[in-house]
Amino acid sequence: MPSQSAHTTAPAVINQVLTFAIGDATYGIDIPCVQEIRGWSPVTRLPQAPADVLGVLNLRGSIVPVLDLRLKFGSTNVQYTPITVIIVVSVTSAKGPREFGMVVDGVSDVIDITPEDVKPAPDLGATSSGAYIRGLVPVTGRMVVLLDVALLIGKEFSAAAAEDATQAA
Amino acid sequence: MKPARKTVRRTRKTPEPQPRSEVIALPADCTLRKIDALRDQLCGVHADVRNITLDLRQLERFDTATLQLVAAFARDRVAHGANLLVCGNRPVWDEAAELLGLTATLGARA
Amino acid sequence: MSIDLTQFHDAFFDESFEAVDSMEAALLKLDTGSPDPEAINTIFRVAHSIKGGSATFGFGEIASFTHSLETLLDELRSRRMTVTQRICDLLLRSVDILRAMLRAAKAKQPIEMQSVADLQLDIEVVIVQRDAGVAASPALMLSSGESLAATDAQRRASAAARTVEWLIQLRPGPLFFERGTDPLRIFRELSVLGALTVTADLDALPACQELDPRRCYLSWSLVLVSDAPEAAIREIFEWMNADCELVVTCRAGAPAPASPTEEARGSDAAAEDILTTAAPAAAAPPVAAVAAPVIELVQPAQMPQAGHAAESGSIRVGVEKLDELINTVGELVITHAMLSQICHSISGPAAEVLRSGMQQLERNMRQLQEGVMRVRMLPISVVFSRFPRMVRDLAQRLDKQVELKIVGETTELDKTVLEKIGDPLVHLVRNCIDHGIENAKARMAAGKNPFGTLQLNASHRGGNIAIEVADDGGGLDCERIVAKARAAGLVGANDKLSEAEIQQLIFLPGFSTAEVTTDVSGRGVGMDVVRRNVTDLGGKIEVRSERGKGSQFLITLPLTLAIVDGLSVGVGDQTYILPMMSTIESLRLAPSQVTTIADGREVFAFRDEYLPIIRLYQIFGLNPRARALHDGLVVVVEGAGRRVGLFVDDLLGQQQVVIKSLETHYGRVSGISAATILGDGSVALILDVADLIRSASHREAA
Repeated sequence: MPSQSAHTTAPAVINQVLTFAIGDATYGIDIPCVQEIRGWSPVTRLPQAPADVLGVLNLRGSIVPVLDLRLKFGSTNVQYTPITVIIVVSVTSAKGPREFGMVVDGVSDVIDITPEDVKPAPDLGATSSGAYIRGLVPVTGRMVVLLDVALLIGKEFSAAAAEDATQAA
Repeated sequence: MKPARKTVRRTRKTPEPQPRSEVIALPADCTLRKIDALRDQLCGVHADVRNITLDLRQLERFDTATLQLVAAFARDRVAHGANLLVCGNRPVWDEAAELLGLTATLGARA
Repeated sequence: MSIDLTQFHDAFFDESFEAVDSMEAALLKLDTGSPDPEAINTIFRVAHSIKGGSATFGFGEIASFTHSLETLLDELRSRRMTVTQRICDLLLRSVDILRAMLRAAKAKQPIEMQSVADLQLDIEVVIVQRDAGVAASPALMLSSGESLAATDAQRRASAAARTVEWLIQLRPGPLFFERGTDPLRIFRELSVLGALTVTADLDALPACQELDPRRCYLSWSLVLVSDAPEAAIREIFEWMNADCELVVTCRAGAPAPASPTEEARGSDAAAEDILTTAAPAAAAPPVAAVAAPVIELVQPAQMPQAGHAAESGSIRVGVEKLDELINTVGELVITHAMLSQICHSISGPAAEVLRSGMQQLERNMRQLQEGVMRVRMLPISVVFSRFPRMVRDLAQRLDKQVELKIVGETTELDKTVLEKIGDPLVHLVRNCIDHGIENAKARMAAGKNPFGTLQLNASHRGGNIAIEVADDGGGLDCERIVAKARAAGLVGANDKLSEAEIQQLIFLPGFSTAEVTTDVSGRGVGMDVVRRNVTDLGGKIEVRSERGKGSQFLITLPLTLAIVDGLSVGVGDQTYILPMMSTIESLRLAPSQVTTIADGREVFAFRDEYLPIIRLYQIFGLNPRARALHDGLVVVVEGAGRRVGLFVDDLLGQQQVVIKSLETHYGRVSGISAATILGDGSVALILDVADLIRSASHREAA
C-alpha cells in the first residue's frame, strides 16, 4: 500500500482506483467514473467505426459504445473469454454525462492512492497508450499505469464526441 | 423550619437610561415587499420614548401597507402619550395620507 | 403569511399568450365594412382579462397598456367609434406589443417602453380625434397617466354635464394587498374624476406589535363628486382584485353602476351588502374575466395545474411528465417483445395459455401506447394559426393579393413534431407568396383571378400526417431551374433531366432562382434546409408543379418521434431496421433484370425508371450470406428525393420499434439515424435512408 505523506497535518486526499489487467500490464482508473463491471457479451457493430470500437451495447436501455482497450493499446491477439470483462465508465462532456464500455482482460483490486503517490509518466515515445496516461503509481510488486478516462473517449470516438470532450475538458 | 435562603449575587450592568427622543429614518423601500423590516424597526422603538420623529428623507417607495403600518404605530404611541412628528418634507406622502383618509392619524408636520 | 405569486406566473403567461393569439385571430377576421360585434366583444374581453391578470400579478406596464387598449375597444364595442382600417392596424400593432411585453416579462427582462409609449399615444390620439370638433393636443395626453380618464371626462362635459355624488364603500379582505391591488392607486384614479373625500376606518387595526403588516385591516368610505359617466367610475374598480366588499351608490338619482363585485371564497364577508343592478350584458363578461384569475388564486391547491377546469375540461401537464410516460411505454414495448420471444420458444400446455395472455397484453399495450401518444398530440392549428397574420403582412409587403385557405386544422400531431414543423412551413409559405404567386397585374394578364390562393391542408394519411402547401401561382419554371443549376455547376451542361428530376433540384443547397433576393426568401438556403428539417423528423417532402397553374409541396410526417414502424432486415450477422415510411416495395431480382453500367454500378428497372442498387454489406463492411443479387432481396426505398434498391440478405419481419439515441453516448454515424433494442435485448441500428442515398451519390460523383 503506498505510504501516506507524513508531513501534512491535514488528512491526505485519498483517491480510490480500480486496477485491471491488459496483457501483462496493470492499469488503473478513478473509481468515481466507474459505473459497473459486466461480463463480455456480443455487441452490435457500428459501421465505419475505428477498429478498436467494437460496437454498441444495450446498457439498461441506453445505447452505449464499447471500446476494446486491448486493441487500442496495441494487442494483436485478443480473446473474448468468460473472464473477459467490460468496465462501463461515465465521463462528463459538454453534452452531459456519457457512458462507454472498455473491454479488458480482467479486473484486479481497488487501491487507495494519494496525489503524492502519482509519479509523472516518462516519455514513452510512440506507444499507443501514452496519450492517455495521467501518471504511474508504484505499488508493491507492480507499477499501475493511471489512465485519464476522459481522454479515451475524446480521441477515438466520432468527431462529434471528440469535440464534446475537449469542450468539457 | 424555614429553608435557608440563598442569595445569588450577579454582577449587573448599569442600566442605560432610556432615550426620551428617537428619530426613525424610514428606508428607501417601504412597500409591501419590505414591510416586515419596517415593522421590526417601528416595534423596536422602546415604549418609554416620548418624542418620536419619523424621518422621511430617504423614503422613495411606499404603498398603502406602509401607511397602514405607520398609522397603527402612530395611533398606539400617541395613545400612550408620545409625540409624533414627521419630518423630511415629502408632499407625496402627504397626498397619499390624504387619499387614504389617514392625515389625522399620521401626525403633524415638522 | 404571504402568498408567493410567482408560482402562478407560468399559468398567467400561458393563458395570456393564448389570449393574445385569439385576439389576433379575431382581429384578422374582422371585416372593417361590417364588423361582427361578437368579434369585437371577444377582443374586448380578451384585453380585459389580460389587464386583470397582469394587474393581479404585478405586471404594471402590461396592465397599464392593456387598459389603454381596452378603452379603445370599449369605444368600438359601444359603437361610439367605428372600426376603420387604421384602427385595425393599431389593434394589430397592439397585439405585437403585448406579445413582446409578455415575452420580456416572462424572461424577467425589462420591457422596452418606447414603442409601448408610442403606440399608447397613437391609440389615445385616435380616440380623441374621433370626436368631431374636439381637438385635444397630443401634449395633453402625455402629461399624466390618468389623462385618458380626464380627457374622457372633458369630452363628455359638453355632451352630458351632470354632477353626481357617488358614495363608495370599500372593505378589503385581509389578502387584498397581497393580491396586488394598492388602494392608493385606485383612490388616486378616482380623485382625477372629481372631488374626492376619504374617510378611513381603523377600528379593525390592531396594535403595531400584534398586526401582520401584510394584511389589510383598513376600510374606507369615499364620497366622489363628479360629472364623469358611470362607465369611467366602474372601470376603475374593474381591475381591482375581488378580495373585498365594494358598494357603490349614486346619490343623485341616476341608477347605480353595476358593481363588479365577487366574494373571494376565502373571505367571510357577508353577501347582503353587495349591490348589483340590472347591468347591461356587456358588464357581466368583464366581471367573469376579472374573477377568473383571482378565483384560481383562492384555492392554490387546484391552481394552476387545474387551469380552466370549468371551461374546457382540460388540464395543463408539464412536458417532462409526458416524456417520462412515453419513455416508460417504450420500455414496455421492449419488454413485451422480449417476453414474446421467450413465449415462442416454449412448448407445452402452459405455453398456449401464456401465448394467448401475451396477445391480450399486446392489445392492451397498443391501446396504452396509442393513448399516451395521443396525449402528446396537439392540433396543427397551433402552427397554422400564425399564418393568417403572416400571409396578410407578407402579401402587403410584396404587393400581392393572396387569399389563405386552411383545411384540416384539427389534425393532431405529436407536440415535438409540431414544434419543429413550424419553421419549414413558414419557409414554404413565404416561398409560395414570394416566388409562386404572381402579382395582381400579371395574374389578370394571364386570365387568372387577381387574388392568388394559398392552401394549407393537413390530414392523416395511412398512419402518417400529410401537410400540403399549395399555391395557384406560376408553378416551377423548369427552364430557369435547369439554367440556374447548370450555372451553379450542379448539373452537367449536357445532362438530360426529367421534369421530376428538375423539380428536385430546388432542394439542393445553395439553390435559388430569385433574380432579386428579397429579404423574405430567396437567399438560396431555404429548400434544402426545409427538406433537412423534414427528414430529421423522420418524414419526407415531395413537390408537384405545373407551369402556369401552380405548385404543391407535400410533407409526410410520422405520427410520433419516439416509435417507428420498422422493417427488420438481415445483412450478414447483423439486423438493421428500415423505417416503413421510406420503403416502397421489396423484390427478388432475377439476374436478367440487373444491368451493369459503365463504371460498375448496377441498376434495375422498377416501374418506369432505372434505380441503382446499394449493397448494404459493402457500405457496412459486413460478411453477407448472399452476394449474388438473386440470392438476396432488394428493398426499394425512397429518400432525398430519389429511389434506390437496398440489397439485403433477408427480410426478418415488421415491427414497431422504440427509437433510442445513438448520439447520447456516441455520436453520428453515416447512414444510421438511431438505434433500437430488440426483444432479445440486443441493439439494432435504424437506417437513415436519405443519408445512405446521399452518400451513395457522392461516391458516384467521385
